[in-house]
Amino acid sequence: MMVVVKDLIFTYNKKTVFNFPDVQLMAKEPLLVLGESGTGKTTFLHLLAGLLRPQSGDIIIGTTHLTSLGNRKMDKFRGTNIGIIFQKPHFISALTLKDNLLLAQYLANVKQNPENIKATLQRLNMLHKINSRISELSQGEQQRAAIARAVLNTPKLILADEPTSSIDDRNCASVVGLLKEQADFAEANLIIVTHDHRLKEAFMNQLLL
Amino acid sequence: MNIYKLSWRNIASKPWPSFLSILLLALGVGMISLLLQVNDRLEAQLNRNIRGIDMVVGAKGSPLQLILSSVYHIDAPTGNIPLAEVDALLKNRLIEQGIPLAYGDNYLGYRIVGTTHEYIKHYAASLAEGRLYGQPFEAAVGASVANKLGLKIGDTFFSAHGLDEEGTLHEDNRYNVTGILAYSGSVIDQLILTPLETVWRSHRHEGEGKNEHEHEDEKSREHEEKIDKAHDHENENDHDFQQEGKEITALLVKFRSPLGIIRLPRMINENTSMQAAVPAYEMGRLLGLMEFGIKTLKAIALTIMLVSGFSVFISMYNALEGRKYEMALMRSLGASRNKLLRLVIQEGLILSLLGFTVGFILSRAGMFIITMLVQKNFRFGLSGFPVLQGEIFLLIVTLAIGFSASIIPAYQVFNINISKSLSDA
Repeated sequence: MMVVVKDLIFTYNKKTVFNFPDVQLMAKEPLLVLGESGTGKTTFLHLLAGLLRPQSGDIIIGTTHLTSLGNRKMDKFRGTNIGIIFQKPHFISALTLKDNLLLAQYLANVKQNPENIKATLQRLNMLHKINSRISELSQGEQQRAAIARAVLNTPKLILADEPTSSIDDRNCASVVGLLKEQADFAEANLIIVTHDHRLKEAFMNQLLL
Repeated sequence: MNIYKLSWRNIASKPWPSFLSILLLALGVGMISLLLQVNDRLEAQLNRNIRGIDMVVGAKGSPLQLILSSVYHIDAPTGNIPLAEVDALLKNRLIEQGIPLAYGDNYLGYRIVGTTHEYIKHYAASLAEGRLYGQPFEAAVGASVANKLGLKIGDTFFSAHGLDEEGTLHEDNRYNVTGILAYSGSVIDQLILTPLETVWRSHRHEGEGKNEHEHEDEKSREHEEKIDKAHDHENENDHDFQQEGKEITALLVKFRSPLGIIRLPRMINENTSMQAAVPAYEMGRLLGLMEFGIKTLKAIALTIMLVSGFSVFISMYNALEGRKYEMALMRSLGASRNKLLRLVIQEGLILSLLGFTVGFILSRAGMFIITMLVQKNFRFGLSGFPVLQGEIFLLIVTLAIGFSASIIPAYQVFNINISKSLSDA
């Protein structure tokens, strides 16, 4: 899979205009996007995920021009091709971890496959929490659960928003390790946006906003 | 995992607001359904017993009272009419059949009615066991009476004077149960039937006393018991009554042709000492009076339902504020707008369907209680609670309320700003 970003401009209002630098990634190539607050990191990530529409410019993922997709096709494309790890772990609170993951399969129109869920949780060492409610998980566990959901449907692109912002150094390394591992496993491009300079050493390919 | 399961989980995860919505809906639905049922059962019961009775002839007084007493057996009779006059009337060519009824006594609150076998035939009742009465003081007992009082063939009982349980006991009037009637779903189930002669014999003294106590006689149930035993021992020698002395309480008339209804009631009311009442007309009047009350109650129940619809809306709207990011999350996981739209509307529909179901069960429970009360107080059964057309309409209205309550939340979900909702949470 190839990711290309070209001439991307996003406007919240007249004063807040983001001009994003161009990006060109080869298949499986990871990217670290660094930037301080207010530089549009999350906006950039949401644009890549198709959650926001740019003012102008092009985002190409594989052979798909993301910007030209209609709403319905966009939702579908996102479900099957993009895994997102949000800054805070978001889950459906009424459901257990397993049901949250089943929901991710269901909403992406992927066949619901408990075996795949178990295998994914196993890789993240979370299998023993499969029937827990999300509120019963620790913050670190929620983070791993969020990673599990992002990689569950073997997406082509994994997007992570500040995955290490509230973690100490030791766990920071392990989370980055997990993300890289899972991206390799899924053969996906991994794009992390962060202001966390600890991640610099882990990624060759960096982009400064 | 699917949208249905998710809807259920969402409803279950906020039990109190869901409970309130369901409760309010159930109250509204229950009340309306109960009213529909009572109205329908009452009308069915009233009409079933009217069938085949074109006119009732009795003593002068309130026509409604005459109908209630002699057709439904729930009010006091208007008085008695002389048999001679009745016989004269029966010679009229417009009359196909006339069934005489004579009252006077009761047994533990169940009315004892002196009548011919025609009466049983008229209600298409049949014997469950034993035989019909033949001799005076033989009795055929209605199914409900037999069931409630545990009467069997061969049992004997003493009647009490009047129509209240408290009436003085006729200690010399010993009735023999010769037959038990099968359940017919009509008033006959609640009656004890006996030959006319029984009533004449046990109240013979009243006929004799007529000249002296004419006014009291017209209100037979208010009669004071004035029997002295010596009087009654003469009964045995008294087999051939004078036709002039005999009286009955009412005559149920079936016309030979529709012409009867035009001519006879007027003729009777103008030219005789008797009164003629048309059941269909009187019942129509009665139901018309009740309708106002029923309409008022329906309006109240409908208001409750609308309030409950509002409660469903508030509950869903509030929940949605808290769940906005869940909705955005589901969008980010690939859910289309339509899928989430379905999710929200489905929750509204599930809530309203639950409310309807609970209300429906409540109304049936209410009917059950009302039936028991009615049977106890009026000896009047309301059996079988079929699903009414009005209730199907009620279901549609309930679902429509649930649907409209979820429209605004659904609209918000449709236009959700995914990026913002996820960042704000």
